[in-house]
Amino acid sequence: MMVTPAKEDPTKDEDISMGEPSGVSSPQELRNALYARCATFEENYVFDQNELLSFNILPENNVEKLIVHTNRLTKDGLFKLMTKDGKACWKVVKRSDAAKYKSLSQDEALVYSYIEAAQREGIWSKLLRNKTNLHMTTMNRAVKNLESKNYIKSIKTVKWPNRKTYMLAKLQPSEDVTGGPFYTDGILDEEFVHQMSLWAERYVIGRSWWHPPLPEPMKKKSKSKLTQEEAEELRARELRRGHGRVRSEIMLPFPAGYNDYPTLAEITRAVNASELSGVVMKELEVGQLLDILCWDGRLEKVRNGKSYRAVRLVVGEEGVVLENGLTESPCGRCPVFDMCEEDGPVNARTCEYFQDWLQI
Amino acid sequence: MSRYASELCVLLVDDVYGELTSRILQVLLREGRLSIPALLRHTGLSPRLVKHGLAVLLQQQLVFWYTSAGDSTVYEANTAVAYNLVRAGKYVQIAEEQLGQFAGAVISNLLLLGHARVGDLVQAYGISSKDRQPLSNGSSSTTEHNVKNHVTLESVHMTLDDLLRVGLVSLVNESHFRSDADNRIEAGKMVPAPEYFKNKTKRENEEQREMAILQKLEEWKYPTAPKKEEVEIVQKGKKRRLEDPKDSQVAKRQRPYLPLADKVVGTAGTAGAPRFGHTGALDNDIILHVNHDKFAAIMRNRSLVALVDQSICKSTAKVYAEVLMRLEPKVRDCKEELETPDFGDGPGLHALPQVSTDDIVGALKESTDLANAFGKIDASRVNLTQNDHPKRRRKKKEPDSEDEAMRDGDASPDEDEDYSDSEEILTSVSSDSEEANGEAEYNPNPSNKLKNSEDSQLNTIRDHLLLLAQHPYQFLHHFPETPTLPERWTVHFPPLMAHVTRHTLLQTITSRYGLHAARLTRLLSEKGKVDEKNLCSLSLLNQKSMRSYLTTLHQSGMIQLQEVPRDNSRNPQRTLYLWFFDVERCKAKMLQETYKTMARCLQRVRVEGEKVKSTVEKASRSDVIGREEEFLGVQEREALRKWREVEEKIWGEVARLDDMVAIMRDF
Repeated sequence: MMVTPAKEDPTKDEDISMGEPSGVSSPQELRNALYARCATFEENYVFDQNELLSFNILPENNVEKLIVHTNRLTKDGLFKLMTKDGKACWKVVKRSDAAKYKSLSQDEALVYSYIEAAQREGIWSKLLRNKTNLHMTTMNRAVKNLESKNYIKSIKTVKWPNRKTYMLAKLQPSEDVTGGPFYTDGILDEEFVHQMSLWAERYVIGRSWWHPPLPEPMKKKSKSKLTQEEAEELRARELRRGHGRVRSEIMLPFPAGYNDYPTLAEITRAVNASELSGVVMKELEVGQLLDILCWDGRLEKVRNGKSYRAVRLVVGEEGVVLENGLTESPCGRCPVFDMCEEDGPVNARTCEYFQDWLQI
Repeated sequence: MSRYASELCVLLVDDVYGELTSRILQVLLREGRLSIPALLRHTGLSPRLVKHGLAVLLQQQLVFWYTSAGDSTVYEANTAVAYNLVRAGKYVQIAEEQLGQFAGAVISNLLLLGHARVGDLVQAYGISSKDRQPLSNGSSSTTEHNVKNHVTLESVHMTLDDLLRVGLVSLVNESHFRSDADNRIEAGKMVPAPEYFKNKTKRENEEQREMAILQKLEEWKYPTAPKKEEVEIVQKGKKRRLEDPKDSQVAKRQRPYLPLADKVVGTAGTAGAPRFGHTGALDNDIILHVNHDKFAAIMRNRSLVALVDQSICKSTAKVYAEVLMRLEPKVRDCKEELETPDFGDGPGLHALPQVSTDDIVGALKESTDLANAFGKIDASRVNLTQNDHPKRRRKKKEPDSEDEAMRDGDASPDEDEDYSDSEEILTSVSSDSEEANGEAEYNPNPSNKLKNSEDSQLNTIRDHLLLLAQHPYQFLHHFPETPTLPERWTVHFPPLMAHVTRHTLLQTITSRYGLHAARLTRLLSEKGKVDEKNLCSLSLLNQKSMRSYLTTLHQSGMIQLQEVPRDNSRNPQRTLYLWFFDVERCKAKMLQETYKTMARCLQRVRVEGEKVKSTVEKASRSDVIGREEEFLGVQEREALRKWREVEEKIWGEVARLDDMVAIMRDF
């Protein structure tokens, strides 16, 4: 029994005040009264048979009558029949939604009900077909009709971009479906990822290496007594000014005990404070960003993976280019290296790349 | 031995010792071990030529030989030595740096002679002062350190003695002329049968025998520790030792195949009479060769220092160089530690050579720029406010953790281990160092002692050392101070070198295939086997570009793909495709590529040489040397200059490629 007494009591009061329960009324009215009574509960509340009986709306408060009424209500789409522990129970459906059902054909209603059940996750068309057990064309027609009525919409999921997925038109897709802040319309926003990672990287660089002071003079005089807040504030100001630094050869390491390599939480806070992203980023997502930066070889984890530090010199894009013997030699970048053989079509004797390289 | 590696070896031998030798070596590399008749058949050369060529090869230790009972002698190419020809220039340079210019010259001579008796070396010394170097490595011009004739016998002996002591040169043993497998067989013959050992079970007997064999092999590999050797030389003389039954055998064996050595022995007989009693003089009969393993160990140190310079800073690299230099005498061989099992736990690490902080400080006393190498004031301010809590927490922890450190003889695990859930082998080590560093932060007690400059220097250096220990690559391992022992440091090479190798591989991948390819590779190496979908969401790359990176990497053999069918039909649609990164495979692939690249470079340098052959020949005519202006036209001189440039460039490149090989193969 799910209903708490606290809930029951006020409803009884209402009962008395609201309306002549014992008067003779048509079955339609009875049903309406039952529906109205149930609708006062919170949404998605599930009633079982005893609860419905306890409302004392139906004149002969017996199970058979109740079943007749609820069946009718279910048929009208106002109640939704469910089962719990093998017993029947019901949920109220809003009248507007019920109206939708009413305007639909049987197939469409069936399809609609499954799409509705999928809620914010959406449902894949193939799965929908399996569940509804409808013929392909029938289902497609139903889906098309529903779409044209603007009841449902087709969405893109990040995990399976090629699957046709549907959900109710009024709902927003969940984050699982959209893939979080890095995705726009189910497509990875590479530029956003790139910019965010650049920003995060610079932030980490600024905090994990000592840089020669910027031209702007900083007032260091008041160094004696700083509270945590003041220090934070100072750093925030510092960061606002340059939001971190670019890698340079002149930056110096901090002494070994340095404890202020930024942690995930700190970086997340900074990223959100920067308001670069339209949405607030969660630690998980910022962690994802930092992960890729680590995999890019631009950051490394220190202090047992609790904090991040920028790698001093990196290969690629900006800054220093680190080459080794293999990559700087003509063969290391040769597109036909695999074919290169003595006396073969490609060989050291006639190699053009060597020619270019030696000319440099 | 791969095709490219043998190609490279043949080219190198050809370059240094000429066509005859390289042809024989090529046949040996292609066909495996051969007896002389077979060798004659395969090379199509006359017996006289083949024997002559073999003599040179043997002299240079470029071939192994083995005579099993009742069989004819068979020969086998020694590719390790052949490859090391490329390092001759580096060897000379290292020897010069360690023991002065003269030592470099001696090494250069020894390289020229392959292996030699001290007497012969002294003799050959006079010959070689006319500036002949085995490898015409463009980058090292030998004319500068042309050694004058005033070289005395003593100085040669002294230098050789130094070289022996440092380990750059080592004694030759018969085992050095046999391949590992043959050595094993021979050792097996010398060690008595399992029944000889009086243990309870057969297995124990066998184990003990195995141990004895390994010990024998070890003895052969490092004939005698230099220190002991010196004593022995002075006390009883090397000659007698050589005439022990087993050694006399090799002495006799060697002779027939060493016409060159024989000849020199004959002439040198009187000049290099044994000089016992005179300190620093070596017996003329000691046979020496260059110790490649030791050179590799020194090269490893250099590359590590360079990496520290890159990833931390110059001053730290300087400190690190000092640490490595202190540890280096105890490192015979880069692979030594790999062979010793049972590392990773406390006692194992403690067995490693260590160096104490005080030693380092003593050595680096006068350097002033170390202190300026850290970020200062504003950093420490932030540090203090931030540090407050962790520090206090550590302080409480300190006593019992130190207790534990004493008990297990290693830094203790602490709560940090909760975080170290990474699957790295290093976990225990890294948490140790974390703890160690935590303690270390404390030790500088705020008393007035700190005031004087010596202590501040100590603290600076300790900071550098701790920074090294703290680095994710674990450049150092830190043993905190205990009541009985001072604070010590060691380098645990195997995991460190694994990091360095990975670093090199990824650096290559990054600059070849781009940042995103490197991202995928690192991701795979961290996560293991990953399917495409997960890879896509983890790497934050869009599927299309990610696929193109994966394909490129896969094609070039950097990453691998595994197909796991979900049912028996093996339908491609019902198959999982898992990508993974195998360091070993990637390393092997890249090593082959490097060999191939080196071979191509050498081929090219030859091609370039042919272009200016006539001019070079003209320029090296005896009447032209010294009077180039007079005899050579402007064009010819220009061509020569260009040729020299090209040669220098290519050989420089080969040397850099060799650095890669060293990292991927030797370290």
